Amino acid sequence: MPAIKCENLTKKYGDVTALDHLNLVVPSNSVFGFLGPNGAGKTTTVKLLMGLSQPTGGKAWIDGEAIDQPRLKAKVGYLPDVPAFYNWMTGREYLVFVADLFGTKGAGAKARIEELLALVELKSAAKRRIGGYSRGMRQRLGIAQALVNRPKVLFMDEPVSALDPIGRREVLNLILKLKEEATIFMSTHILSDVERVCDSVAIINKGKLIIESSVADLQARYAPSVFEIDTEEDPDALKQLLEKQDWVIKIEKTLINKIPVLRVQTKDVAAGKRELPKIIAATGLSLLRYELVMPSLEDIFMELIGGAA
Amino acid sequence: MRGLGALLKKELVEQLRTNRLLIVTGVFLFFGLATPLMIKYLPELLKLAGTGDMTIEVPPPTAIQAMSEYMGTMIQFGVLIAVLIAMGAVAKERESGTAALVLSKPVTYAAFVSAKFKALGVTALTAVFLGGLACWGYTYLLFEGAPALGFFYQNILLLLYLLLALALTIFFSSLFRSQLAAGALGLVSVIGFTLVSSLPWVGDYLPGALVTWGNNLLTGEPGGAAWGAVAVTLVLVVLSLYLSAAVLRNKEI
Repeated sequence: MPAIKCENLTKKYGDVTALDHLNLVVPSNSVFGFLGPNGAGKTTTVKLLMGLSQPTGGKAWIDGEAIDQPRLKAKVGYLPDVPAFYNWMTGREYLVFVADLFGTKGAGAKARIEELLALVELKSAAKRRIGGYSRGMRQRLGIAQALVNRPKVLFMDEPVSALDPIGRREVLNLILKLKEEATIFMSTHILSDVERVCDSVAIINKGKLIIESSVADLQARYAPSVFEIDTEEDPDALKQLLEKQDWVIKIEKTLINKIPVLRVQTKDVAAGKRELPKIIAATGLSLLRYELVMPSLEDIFMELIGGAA
Repeated sequence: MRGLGALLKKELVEQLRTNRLLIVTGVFLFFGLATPLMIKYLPELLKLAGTGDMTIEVPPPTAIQAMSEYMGTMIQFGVLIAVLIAMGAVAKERESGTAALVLSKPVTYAAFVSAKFKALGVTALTAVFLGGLACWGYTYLLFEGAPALGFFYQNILLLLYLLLALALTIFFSSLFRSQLAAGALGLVSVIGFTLVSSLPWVGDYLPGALVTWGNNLLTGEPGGAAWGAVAVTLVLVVLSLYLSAAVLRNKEI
C-alpha cells in the first residue's frame, strides 16, 4: 500500500488552477522530494493532503485512508514552511499542548517531549517563551511538534530553509533516520538536499506534474548531457561561441581552485560530442580538462522547468 | 468535539497570560466602582462647578440610578470589549499560521471554535460578575436600598447579550481573514439587532428586548419579561458557532 496516493487532485481558486489533476504515488518508508519553483503548487498540495484546504476535484489517500477522514490526522505530522506558534507559550508547553491534542498524557508523553527537545537541541531553551526564539529555533520546534505522535507520514514544507549549515545537516540526517519508521514528503527548493536524502522526486510547475521518478532513474534518464571544460585562460570567448549553438541549453562559468570551468548543458549530446572539440580548438584556448559528466538534479530541474515554462 | 479539552485549557491559559482576563475584568471593576461614586457625588460636583449666579436643582441620587447608570455604560462598553477580544479569535490565528498547526492535529473545527467561545465567555462571566459585585457593593455602602436580586438577574441578561456579541464576532472572524472586518461586522450586527428590537411585536423576541427586561428587573417594574428574546439569543449564539465551524471547514487554513 502506498503511503500517499493522489488521483486527479485539483484545486482551483476562481479561474486560477493552483493544482491541475495531480496523480502521484509515494511509496512507504521513503523520502519523497516535491520540487518546483515558487507558486508551482507545492504548498497547495501539502495543504490539501493535510486537510487544511478542500480540493475542487480528485481524491487522495494517506496510508490507505481518504484525506477527509478525521482520524487520519492522528497518524500524520506536518511542518509548514514558516511554523507559527503561540508566543506566550514556552517551547516545552507547546509540545505538551500538542501531545494533549493527540490525547497523549502522562509519563509516556513527558518522555517523548523530553526526547524530542533533546533531538532538536532545544532542551536548554525549553523554558523560554517562544516569542524570544530565533527563526532556526522555531523551525526546530516545528520539527519537534511534527514528530510528537510518531507519524507514519510526515509532511515537511521547506524543512531546512531557515537553518544554518550545521542545523541543515542535522535535520537532513534526522530525515534519513526517520525514514526507518515514516514516509517523508518533503517540498524544497534546495536541490542538493533532495539529492542527498530523497529516494524519489516529483517536479511540479504551474500546478502540473512534470515528472515523477526515483532520483537515480532521473539522473540516468537525463545523463549524460553536461560537459565540463577547464581551460588555462579565461573561457569567455568559448562561452560566447557556445551560446550561439542551438544544441546548448545552458552555460555556467565557475572558478574551481582558481581554474575557470565552463559547465555546458546540452539537449543533443551527440552534437556536443561532435562539435565541442572543434569549437574549443577554434578558440585557441589551452584545454586542461574536457569531460562528459552526470547532470545534477539542478540541471535536470532547470531543463524540465525551462521546457515546461 | 475531539480536542476540546486540550484546546479549552490552552485558551483559558491564554486569557491569563495575555492579560486579557485582567484587562477586561479591570474595565468592568473600574466602572463598577466609579459609577456609584460618581452618581453619589454628582450633586456636589455640580455645585462646585456652578458659577454662583445659577442654581441647579438635582434630585438626591438613588441606588437604582447608580446601578442603571453602570448597566447602561456596561452594555455599550461591554459589547465593544466583547467585539475587540473576539475579532481576532480565528482571523488572527489563520493570518499568523498558528491555526494551521493546530488544525493539522486530530481536532475538529467545532472544538476549535467552541474552545475560543467558551474561554472568552469565561472572561466575560468573570468581568460581569466582579464588575457587578463591585457596583452592588459600592452602591450598598453609599446608598440605601441597593436591590440585589433584580441587579443579579440584570447582570445575567447582560452576560447573555455579551455572549451574543462574542459569538457573532467569532463567526465573522471565521468568515474573514481580516480582524478589522470581523470586528466591524460584529459590532454592526449587534447594533443592528438592537435597532430592529425597537420594532413592534417582533422586537420582543430579539436580543434588544433583554435590555428593557433587565431595566424592569432592576427597578422592580412589572412586565417586560422577554423569555422569547432569551431563547432567540441562545439560538443565535449556537447558530453563530455552528456556522463558524462550518465556514472554517471550507476555508483555506
